[in-house]
Amino acid sequence: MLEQLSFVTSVLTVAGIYAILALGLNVHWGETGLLNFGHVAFFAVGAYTTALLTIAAPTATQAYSFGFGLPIPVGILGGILAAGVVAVLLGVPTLQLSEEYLAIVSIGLAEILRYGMMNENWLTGGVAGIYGVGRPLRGIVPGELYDLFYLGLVLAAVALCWAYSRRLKRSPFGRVLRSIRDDEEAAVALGKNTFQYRMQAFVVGAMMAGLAGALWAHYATALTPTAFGASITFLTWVALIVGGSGNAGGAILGAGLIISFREATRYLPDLYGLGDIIPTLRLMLVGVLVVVAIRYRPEGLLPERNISYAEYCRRLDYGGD
Amino acid sequence: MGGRETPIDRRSFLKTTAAAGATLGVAGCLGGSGGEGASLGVLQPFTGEVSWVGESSEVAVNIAVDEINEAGGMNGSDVEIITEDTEANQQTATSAIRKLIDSDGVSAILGPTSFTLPAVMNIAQESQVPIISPTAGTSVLDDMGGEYVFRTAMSDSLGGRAMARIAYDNGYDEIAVMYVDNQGGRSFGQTVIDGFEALGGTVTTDVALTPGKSSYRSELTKAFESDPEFVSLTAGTETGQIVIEQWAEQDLGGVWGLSDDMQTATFAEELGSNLEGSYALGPLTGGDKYDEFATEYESRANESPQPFTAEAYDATMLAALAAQAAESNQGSDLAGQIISASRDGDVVTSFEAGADALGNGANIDYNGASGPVDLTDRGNILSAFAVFQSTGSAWEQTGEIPAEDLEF
Repeated sequence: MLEQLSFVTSVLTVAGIYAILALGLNVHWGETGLLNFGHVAFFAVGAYTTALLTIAAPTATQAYSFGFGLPIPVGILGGILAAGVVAVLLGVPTLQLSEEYLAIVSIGLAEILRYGMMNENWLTGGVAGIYGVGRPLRGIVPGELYDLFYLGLVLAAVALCWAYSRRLKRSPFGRVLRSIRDDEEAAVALGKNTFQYRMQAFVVGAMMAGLAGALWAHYATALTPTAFGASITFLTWVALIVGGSGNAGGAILGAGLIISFREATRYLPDLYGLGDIIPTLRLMLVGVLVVVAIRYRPEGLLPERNISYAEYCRRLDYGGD
Repeated sequence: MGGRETPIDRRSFLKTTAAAGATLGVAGCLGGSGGEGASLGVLQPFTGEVSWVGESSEVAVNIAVDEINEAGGMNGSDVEIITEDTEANQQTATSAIRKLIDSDGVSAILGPTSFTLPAVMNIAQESQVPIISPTAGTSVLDDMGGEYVFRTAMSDSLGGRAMARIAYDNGYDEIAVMYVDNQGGRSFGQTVIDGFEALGGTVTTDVALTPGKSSYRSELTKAFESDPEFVSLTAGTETGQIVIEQWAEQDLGGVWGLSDDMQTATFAEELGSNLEGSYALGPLTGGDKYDEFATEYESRANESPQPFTAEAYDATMLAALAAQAAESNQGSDLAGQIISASRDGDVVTSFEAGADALGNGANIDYNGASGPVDLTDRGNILSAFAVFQSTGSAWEQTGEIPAEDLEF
């Protein structure tokens, strides 16, 4: 029973990390309408930054040449900030243009970063990667409870991002973002500097992905470029589409469903003896899930809730017109 | 502004809780059998570019498991194989290995490849379940294993050392080194340099080649600047062929030492007399045990054994024999017996013979399909190489480098 619990814990931890990714993407796409196909880039930047900040200085046999041995909270913070900086650099040339440009440039950036990770051995350890990333409070929390402790940490991070996303729904900032998404010209006509708002949203979402990456680094304890393929971006998109874009709860639900689904299918070969077909089927089934979701629940399981102007006023206690 | 707090209406509350409940329900129902019996986990890529690795090694593992079960199983219980797909991706591999260890309670894990092994070895270490990889050649692991990480695959760095040996044994003392610029090529090239310098020779220059170019003339000029007598080249056949053709055009002199990728019949034939007198590394053709394995493999898979399959068979055997030696199917118990079952004792080549010898209180030295399978204290395998020389149209084996000569 304890073994089963341990596996469920690890599934939930991964699901939590994907939930943070999905919440970040929700700020981009769900709230602001930014077509970001390179989400994994921010995830990778967060992961590698915290790894490099917290591991011990490399020995002679290791390929990478940095390791600062800083405390883990500093590393995580560094990972979040670094992802934000990359978002600014990417946003400057692309966010002023129409959204297709961002889609193309962001997918390109993600691939460039991945090739960079594979080839810049001095920084990332190359294909061999970085090992021995520390785990927070490892010595203090008892071993058998450690996985639960880390799950708690991830869930706290999910809760933080969720709270932010909820707040975004009813804050003036969030309203501007949604107005940009729905009709940018109208937002411009109302005197909003849409570039600035898009940039802010882009950076916030990227920082969430950076946080997810940092949590992943301290969970996996080893980083190699194979962990940062485009499939992460697309799995996050699937989570958001199935869960419901524009709805923070939907993003979390989608991530939970997709990851549980991916992991639950690991048990099918045992149950039905289908053997080798299952790993291949798993990806196809994720695809089928998207098709089904788009056909029957195009707005996702938990759709964005559109509030009428009257209700909006009532909520704000304006009393309407 | 009192209206700002969230009024959660009943429907959305119900929907959310129902959905969350469903998610937990899916996670909660994940039943599985753990603990009872004996199981081994196969952790390999079954999808993507390298899916052939998973498919072919599973066949080999099954051959071994059938033999083990026919001989009575691991400590009396039939061995069951549980396969998990890594997708050659670190994230998937991490989840997959946790499932194998936590949920299936496997005794040992066979796999994965170089792409993912470094990422999962900490998990094996922490859970005290041994990994025996038949497929990870990366030189990164050279000094990391020995406790819970072992491999029956040869380290990339052994090839480099063998190459240094060829140059040294044939009396060359100034060599140049050329290699394709990828993980494998780089680590091979580096070990040629380190190995040759350790033997007392001089490496005049080393040149990295970007694969897929149509001209390597400037790289050749650089490599042959100081007229080396021997040039080690690590590359695939396509790059290798272009390099050697352009070298012949320019009449630069010297002989080549080629990595094992180029030791193919067509390669020697196509380059013909240009290659005459040049050396190449190659695998030693296996003995009876390999032939026996190959026949069985062919009858099951309808193809001749793929690379790493003999190693996968041996990894499985080694895991089972170690369990037998430890008299326990617990990963943490059998891990300590893996190295000792591979060397220093009565030579055995099958599970049945090994189990009998262990039952009589003897130590065993398992020799398998891929060779003598003797693990070092760091869990690496030492392996002998064959040396080939070109006759001008074909490769001819002219010597052999015993495994002991590569420990330096």
